[in-house]
Amino acid sequence: MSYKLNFILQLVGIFISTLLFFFLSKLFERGMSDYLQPYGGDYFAFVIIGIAITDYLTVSLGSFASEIRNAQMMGTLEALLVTPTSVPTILFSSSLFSFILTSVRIIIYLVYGITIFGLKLHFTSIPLLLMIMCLTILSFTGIGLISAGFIVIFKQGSPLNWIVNTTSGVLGGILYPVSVLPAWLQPFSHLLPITHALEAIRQILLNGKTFSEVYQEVIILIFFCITLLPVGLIFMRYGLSKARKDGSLVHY
Amino acid sequence: MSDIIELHKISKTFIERSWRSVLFRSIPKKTEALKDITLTIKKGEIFGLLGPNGAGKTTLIKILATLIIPDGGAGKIFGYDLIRQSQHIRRIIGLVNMSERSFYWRLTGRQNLNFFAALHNLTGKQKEKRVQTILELVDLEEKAETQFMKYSSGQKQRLSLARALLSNPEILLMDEPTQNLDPIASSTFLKLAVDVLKKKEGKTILWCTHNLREAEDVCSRIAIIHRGAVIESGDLEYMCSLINTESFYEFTIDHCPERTLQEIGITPLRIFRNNGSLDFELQVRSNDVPSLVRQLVENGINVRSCKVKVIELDEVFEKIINRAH
Repeated sequence: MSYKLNFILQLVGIFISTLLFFFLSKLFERGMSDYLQPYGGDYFAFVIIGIAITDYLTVSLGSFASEIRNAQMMGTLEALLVTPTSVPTILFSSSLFSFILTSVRIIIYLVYGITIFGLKLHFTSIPLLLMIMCLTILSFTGIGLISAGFIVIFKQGSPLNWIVNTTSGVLGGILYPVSVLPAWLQPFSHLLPITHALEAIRQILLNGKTFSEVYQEVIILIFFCITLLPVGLIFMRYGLSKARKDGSLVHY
Repeated sequence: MSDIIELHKISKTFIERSWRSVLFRSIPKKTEALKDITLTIKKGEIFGLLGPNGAGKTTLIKILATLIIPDGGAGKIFGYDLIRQSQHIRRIIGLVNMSERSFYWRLTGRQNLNFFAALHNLTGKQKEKRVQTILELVDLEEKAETQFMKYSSGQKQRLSLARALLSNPEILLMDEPTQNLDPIASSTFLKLAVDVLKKKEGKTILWCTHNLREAEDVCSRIAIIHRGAVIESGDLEYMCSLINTESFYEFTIDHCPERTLQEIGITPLRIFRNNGSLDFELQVRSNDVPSLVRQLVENGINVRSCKVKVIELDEVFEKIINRAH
């Protein structure tokens, strides 16, 4: 019963936030902002994609760390670590449900947007879109693993989550285009995977662009994947090894 | 029997670093948990690791379970290196600990076992069959569909054993397995360990406990650990012989004046007079007993009986620990 109620509340929550951004977008309707021109000029379409993809960022950053933290607090961590299954496998499997749920949430956002609020999207490059989504998730996952490693060592909330979430919120182009930012601040936004993920996804969904027009963003996302993912795995292993040396696996 | 666990000079010191010690470069608090532990455990035996609380038993178990990395020394389990081949070791060991928090409380016993079986790479029918076999082995099949939170302490501990047995490991590491159990549940658990795990399944078991009776009941060999060091190890007979050199003997002789005993150099600890006989207790080396009896006989004293006072393992433990201080 509680699971069903939770699901219904989530559906209502998604509808309300979509409604909120729909009304907010009305502000820009008459005097269309120049900043939104590269994205087709519709703020509602712009922001709903931003909000939906941010869900992946939140889940990727938080789920691995929270799985580790829960296992520490509940006391199951040692029982998990004494099995032959590797820690990254355990973390990926236990977070899989969160990723599936987030994907469902994103689909619901888009379904509400299209069916109720008249959102117009181009679904001409679905494979490209899926590839970019995968690259986005893997990039975020790298940061999530670093965060989980931090939790294993320090047993406290990772400051990395806060830093990435805050900088992504301010500089990543979630609620407004990066071009709104002062010129000196804009280069910093390019250091964040979400900036490139959102840019590519918006260009595909809002302007119907193809691979040849977004390949630069794709290359940057691949670069983020091949750097952040190994760094995340190494840091996670380092964290576990340090906790094994300190004998602090079960401390919380 | 071949050695299945070999530990050579394993040591571990825990260093407690606080922000203060880092900032002000003060000396961090160090706890020497294990000092040069050298042990061998043979295939198929139940080896007891005895020691008071805080002696280092759990640290040693966790090192063997690859949950803690030692600072020094070397160790092998089934030929696999304790540090470099930890992944292989996890396939051949099962850990039974006293922590009931290590289960998922809202899941049933079977669901918990299914979850951990998957982590041991068991899938499909093979997983179902193994879980069922194990549930029957630990006598929990009737409670299999009950949520873990509704289990009694004894059932929780049996499920912990079931989990450890999922991968059919060669070695079981048991950390105070009967600590939270009442005497009946404890006795059932001990019987299960000896009759099923040792005799039927041929498992090698490292049994950590501070309960001497329990060790006496299940273990063939024992090591006594105190303040992180093994202070004695050997079979039960050997452990008792350690104080047998100064053992207590109970003599019953025909009545004679106490002075006579003193004249022949016997100073009893206690004397009890009975009708027509004299009982006395003597602390004497076992090797000296025959000559002592001969001496009594030669002085015209009839020796009715001479018995070694039964030594409980508690006494051995206490004596060895006191000697270590």
